[in-house]
Amino acid sequence: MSSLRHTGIQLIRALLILWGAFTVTFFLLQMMPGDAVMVRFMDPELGLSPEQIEAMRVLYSGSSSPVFQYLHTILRMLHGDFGYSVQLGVPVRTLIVAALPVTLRLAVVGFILSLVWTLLIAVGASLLPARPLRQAFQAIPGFWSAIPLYWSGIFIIQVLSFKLRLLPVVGVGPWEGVILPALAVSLPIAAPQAKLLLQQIEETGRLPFVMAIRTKGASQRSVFFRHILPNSVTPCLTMAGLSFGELIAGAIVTETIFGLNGLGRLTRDAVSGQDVAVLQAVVMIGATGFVAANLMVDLLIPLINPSLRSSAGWKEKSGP
Amino acid sequence: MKRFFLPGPESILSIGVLAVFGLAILFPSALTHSDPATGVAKDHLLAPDWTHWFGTDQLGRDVLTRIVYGARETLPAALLATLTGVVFGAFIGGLAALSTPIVDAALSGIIDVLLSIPELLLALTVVILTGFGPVHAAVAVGISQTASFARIIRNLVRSLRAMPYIEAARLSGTGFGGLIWWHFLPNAFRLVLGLAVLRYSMAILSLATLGFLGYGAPPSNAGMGTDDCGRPRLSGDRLVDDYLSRSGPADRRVCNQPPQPRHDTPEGTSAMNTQRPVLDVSHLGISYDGKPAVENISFQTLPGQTLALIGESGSGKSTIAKAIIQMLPPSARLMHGTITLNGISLPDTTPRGLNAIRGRQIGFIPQDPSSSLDPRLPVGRQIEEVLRLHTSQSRSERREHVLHLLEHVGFSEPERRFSQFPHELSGGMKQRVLIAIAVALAPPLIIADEPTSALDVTIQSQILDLLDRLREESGSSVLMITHDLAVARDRAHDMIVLRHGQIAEQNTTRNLFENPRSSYTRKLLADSPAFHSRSATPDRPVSGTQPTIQVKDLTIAYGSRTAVSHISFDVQPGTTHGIIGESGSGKTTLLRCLMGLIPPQSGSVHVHGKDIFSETSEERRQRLRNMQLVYQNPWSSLDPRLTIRRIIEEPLRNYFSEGQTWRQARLHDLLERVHLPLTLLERYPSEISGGQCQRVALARALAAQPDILVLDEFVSALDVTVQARILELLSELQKELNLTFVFVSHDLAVVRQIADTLSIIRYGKQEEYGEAEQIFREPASSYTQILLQSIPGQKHSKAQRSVF
Repeated sequence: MSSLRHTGIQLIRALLILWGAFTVTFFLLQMMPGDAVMVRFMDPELGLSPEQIEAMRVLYSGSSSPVFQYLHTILRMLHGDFGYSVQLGVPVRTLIVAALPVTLRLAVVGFILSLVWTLLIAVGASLLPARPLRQAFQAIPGFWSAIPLYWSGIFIIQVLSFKLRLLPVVGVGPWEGVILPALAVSLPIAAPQAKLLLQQIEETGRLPFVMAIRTKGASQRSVFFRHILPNSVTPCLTMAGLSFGELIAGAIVTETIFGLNGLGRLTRDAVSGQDVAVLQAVVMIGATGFVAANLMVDLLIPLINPSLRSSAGWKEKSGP
Repeated sequence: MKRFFLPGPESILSIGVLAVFGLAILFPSALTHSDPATGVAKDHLLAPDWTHWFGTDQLGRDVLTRIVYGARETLPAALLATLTGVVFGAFIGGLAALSTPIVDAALSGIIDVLLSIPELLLALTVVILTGFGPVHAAVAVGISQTASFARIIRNLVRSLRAMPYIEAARLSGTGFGGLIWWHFLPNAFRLVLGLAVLRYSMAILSLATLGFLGYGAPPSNAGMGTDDCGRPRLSGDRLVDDYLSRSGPADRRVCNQPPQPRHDTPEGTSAMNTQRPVLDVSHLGISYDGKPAVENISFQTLPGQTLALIGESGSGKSTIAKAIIQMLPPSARLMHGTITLNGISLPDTTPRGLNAIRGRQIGFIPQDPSSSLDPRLPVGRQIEEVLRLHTSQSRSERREHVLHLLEHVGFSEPERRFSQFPHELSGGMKQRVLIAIAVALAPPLIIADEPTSALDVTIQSQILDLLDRLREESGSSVLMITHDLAVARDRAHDMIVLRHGQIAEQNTTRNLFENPRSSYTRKLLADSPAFHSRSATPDRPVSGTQPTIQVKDLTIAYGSRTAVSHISFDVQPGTTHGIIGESGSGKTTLLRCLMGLIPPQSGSVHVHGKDIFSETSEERRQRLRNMQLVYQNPWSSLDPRLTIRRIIEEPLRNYFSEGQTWRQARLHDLLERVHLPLTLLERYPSEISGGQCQRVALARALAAQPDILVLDEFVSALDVTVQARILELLSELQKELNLTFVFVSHDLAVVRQIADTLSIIRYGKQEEYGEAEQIFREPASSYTQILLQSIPGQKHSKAQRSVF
């Protein structure tokens, strides 16, 4: 019963956060210096008269009071209507529907790959027989997090695609095309996760119960897989949830490098064109991804760690 | 600057690398003579050589030069970004942590909302709002980092706020500003610095990304992201880890009791055993990092008998236990000697062989039941694990076996217990589970490492009875490691007293108590409170005059739960009132209410005739000055970042306006009172021993010139010989300064030493109240009788037959 109540509270909290994120971005975007409509239609080449521009402005609902617009936008969004792109003159929804699958594929594959790296690093750094090998694995997260995404992306294209000709970058199906960018995006995501997991493993390893289990006669490997690892993943899970949210909106760099037409590309164009409706929609999708991933992690954690079953609470965004 | 920064070899290396970067940024011409913006067209895309260390780009510009000038733009911008994030984050986080719950909830909500907006998007939005350019980009990155800074700093400040030394400073009269400046800032500084360095490197990447996307520096500049050339991140990583790990728990201490050479050697023991020993330790010597920890230890354990290894902290008793089960830390080395279990030499056994011996041949009962079980697994599964490792039983057989074991160690509903998690069990129950694991396969040797030190006295005797019963049934040999002479007297056939890693005395239990041979044993016996009633002090008046403290019908509730109900007692001036209770009895709640820190639901507390819950703020300040609280944990009640001088001076500065010379004189006077040398003044709490810490805490309390001291488990964490000296000091201070004490403890033997009157509480109710000796002689309540019977050291020694 209490777990049902806990779920309910978390749901309400998630909705409140979404509403907050909407409000913050709405008013931030309202404060935009240039009027997006003006930016587009004041262009002398179009040769529009001031009356025509004013009519356009009304069409894009730019003239009524901010409070009215705020309520209007919220109601529209609840109906799945994100308004019109000022730049392209098409419904934002159409743009999103086209872009979202690309980014979601990238996010999901990148996310899974990052989990694989994290686990491999943790196992290698803890169980490899030779000390130098373990230390080498321990150094990987620090090394990876030092490489900027735009560099590793270009490097991956250069080496895997152009030099080794393992995978082409252009003219491939939706899933094959996503492998290289997902690889590039998984490294910087895996790095802080692996780092946190290694820290947790070290901390868990120092806890008295690990020694107590060793005195039962369990081998190091068995203690690692049965006790240390399961007790160390909780904070990583929280972080993984956060990075999944980041992946959805943070695909800007990857999509630019790999020429994918996803949310990232949409964001980039919207920013340069000051396309408020598109930006608002993208922020809301990013925030929804973040909140949903967090919600999932929050509901998942008590299943993994029974001692946390009674206590509620939004988990800390820990580490980098 | 010591309170802020202590460089180690790794940080010096990192600082060196940073210095090279810094110099390159400040004096780019020292590294390169080319112009970053113009290139020589014919030199385009050259490979690295002596003139162009990193080669050249498409336009023939020197890449190294461009990196250096790029860094010149990006590194200061990243600094600005990080500073923006830290300053805003610290302000919001600190405000949330230190203000009322409503403000905290509101700010946390805002932080959550900002966290939900992806950082890069937030930074982009801010850049659009403020306009493009390096400074704007830096501020935008800083603002996008603010929320995560604020979240971490809020949690950090909240955890600091819960530290006893913060409350101690508050009760020493330190105001809000003083708390921030003297306690929060120095303690948070390292962690925030570490965090800031980590964030700095992330800010570089974020700025470079903004630049790459075209929103940072204008394209003509050489910002880092505009080159297709990643730069290795600052090697500050290790530095940060170093900070974080070193400044983590702020109460890591060293007990500095230097090992002294011993001159009396252990007497020879006459072996008259007919049985084969289970465990045979001979001339064992172990060193840590080359320094001997134990030397020349020899003993044997017999089947069905208990041998106790007794010693204070640092005596080497745990080292011996770990050596037997072959789980010494890597820094330990076996210098000489043999350890043989039923004819098998343990140091010569392979890791695989040891895994087969642990759990099967040696059962191990760890010290602290609360942290010795995997929190994630049902306890039944954890007992099952030892069967899975060592037997070929099927799953259902194992389950049967575990249920049987649970019943055997005293659980009434084994089926239900099987699937319960550790956090659902009390400390005593967890220890039963751990005992079930240790005895599951009836191993010939059971090592019990302080098996009951973390448990209440009534639970303690039950657990020890259980252990005795199991030993008798299985005929196992028990090696009991303990600091408690009284426990050993009740349970052991033979005893070994350790001091500084050597055997001070090896004897049968009866002989050791009736006829101690070594002077150290005699000292231990004299200092153990369990073997004495009240130290001879004349009886003082316990009634008649106006009582210093009057507690009437006090009831305290936490939410809907009543923690303390209807408690009344008087404390006469110059006397000690002892409050005895086991864990969960409500004694700490009672004590905090007594100090006025939490309000009661009903009832009253009068100090010097005045009701403390209807006082003005000035009256409260005066009362808190007269009534000092002294804490349980010697290490967490002293701020780790302040010198002993600063700690004792705090109340002197707060309560007295006299100048520096007066404070100096007063400081010396206080140190003399608590028998501490002046040389300690410039040390930090981590550099002195537990006993010395408690003396410093006493000196700090006395500095305010109080007439009441409220002592919370004041000597519980100390070794028995140190404990005895501190108790002597308390009696001395009470006589000289006519102090009134309220002494809260779980330890009846200690309270008996010092209390004139006594309250015994259980589940928040007062079981008994009256004159201390009267209660100890003729306890009226049945609970008090059980409590008194549970005190170890009263049973007759078990020695019938012995190896010695």
